[in-house]
Amino acid sequence: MAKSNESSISTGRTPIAHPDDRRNVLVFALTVGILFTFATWYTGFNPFTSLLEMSEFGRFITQDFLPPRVTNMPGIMAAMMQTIYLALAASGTAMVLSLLWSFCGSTAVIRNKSILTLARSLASVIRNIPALIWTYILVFSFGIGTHAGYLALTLSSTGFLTRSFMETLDEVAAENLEALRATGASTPAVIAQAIIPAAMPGLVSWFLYSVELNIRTSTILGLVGAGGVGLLMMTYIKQFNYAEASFVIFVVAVATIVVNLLIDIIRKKVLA
Amino acid sequence: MNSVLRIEGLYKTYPGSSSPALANASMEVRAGEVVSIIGASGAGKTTLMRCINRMVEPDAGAVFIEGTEITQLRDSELRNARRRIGMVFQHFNLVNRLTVMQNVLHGRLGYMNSLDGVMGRYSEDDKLRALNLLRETGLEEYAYKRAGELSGGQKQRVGIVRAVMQKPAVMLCDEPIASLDPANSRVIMDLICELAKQGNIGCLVNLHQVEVAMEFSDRIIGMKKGYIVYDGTTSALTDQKLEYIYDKPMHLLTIRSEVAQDG
Repeated sequence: MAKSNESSISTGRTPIAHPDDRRNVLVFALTVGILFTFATWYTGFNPFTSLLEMSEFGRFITQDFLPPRVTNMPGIMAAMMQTIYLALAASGTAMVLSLLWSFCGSTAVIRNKSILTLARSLASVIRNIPALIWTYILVFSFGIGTHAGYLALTLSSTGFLTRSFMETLDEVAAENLEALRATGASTPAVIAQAIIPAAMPGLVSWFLYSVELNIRTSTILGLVGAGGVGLLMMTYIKQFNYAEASFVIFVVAVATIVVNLLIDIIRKKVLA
Repeated sequence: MNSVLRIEGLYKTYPGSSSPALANASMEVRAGEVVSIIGASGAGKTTLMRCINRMVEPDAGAVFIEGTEITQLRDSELRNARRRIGMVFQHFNLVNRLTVMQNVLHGRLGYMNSLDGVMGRYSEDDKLRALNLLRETGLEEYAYKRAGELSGGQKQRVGIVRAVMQKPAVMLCDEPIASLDPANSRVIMDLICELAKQGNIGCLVNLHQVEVAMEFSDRIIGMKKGYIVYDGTTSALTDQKLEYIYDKPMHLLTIRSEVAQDG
């Protein structure tokens, strides 16, 4: 009691946290500031220049891109659907592959340290190669089209989903695993009866997120030759047909929002 | 009466720890007997319990379940031995998204082949027995509710029914009432004692509340720093011995138990 009075007299205020906390925030802010300054100097990028050139950017948008023009509505719609189907197909395949793979990397299922490490690091490697790079590589072997896009999306989302699934499994595993192991149940039974049901909300949630992500990514992949709406947009841009391209962008935005809303509804229904 | 559980000279030291969690522990539990283990936090109560069904592997010593030594058993033999050991947990450890029935039937998985277990194809007999046990424990109306929707006391009853479904010879209850209010604690302790007598199950119960242990046990085991320092009747457990087990003067222990009673 005496001590707290003393400190409140000496500083005039009663501290509610350790003084180091405040200092850490300051150090963090300073570090970010210094890094920002260094990075802009190193790259020669001046944030103020881009602000000054805003008018040029605005002119490009208003004169070249707007108003949008539509001459090929059925073609654009078909390409959009192709992109969405591409995302769904890739997410579906990735879901199955990741589920199998994540069990190999889950401490709940596999006891062998080297199998665990192998499964986990391989997933990390695949996840950390962006889908864009996969597409470039695959377009070389499979040619331009949805085939390369499908494989690229499947690969990148398998890496991503495997990592996410492993974490989900590890989280739910401990308690349920202990209870079922203690009854003498075999490992396959424990997986099917406890781990999967308990992990289901997490698994479904990650899967839906991957569908969302893949719809956006598959648009971008189209730009480098993976087919779908992105490829169509790139074609318009290369033809300097910016007005039609801007309509494609508008369609992509609307489709993404609609799909996200649908996924939100599914998420609420399924995970309730 | 026969001892359904006997341990001899059990040792366990966790990696990175200098002092043993369990040292030279020997004791036995007879069929239908309720034995409580008391002791301060970290005394080794949970380790002792988990060494019995080898959820934690003991470093040395022997565990006999109905006369069979189990510390050397390999995978499938160990699983068979575990079927005879039911376990009840402080945090219930139910699969919250599954129904009460599904959770209760998990107790039968050890007796089924892997395929039936994976598919959840329980026998009609098991299902009827599960319903019967749920009826006896007052949970019949919740049979098809999700376990996650139940209250703590109800969840623990489901946990106990799951253990009893195994038709165990031994039941290990690890702090079964530590997450429950006093009224529910009483219901749960009554249920454990009743089922132990009814099924002739030897019960080992970890408890924090000395009063509860005194009231419900046939016998008490006191642990301190990994050693069993008391093993005897409730009446022979004097204040002096309690002070020794907990390393605290009696007035501190009584405050603790008054709180436990009033809740």
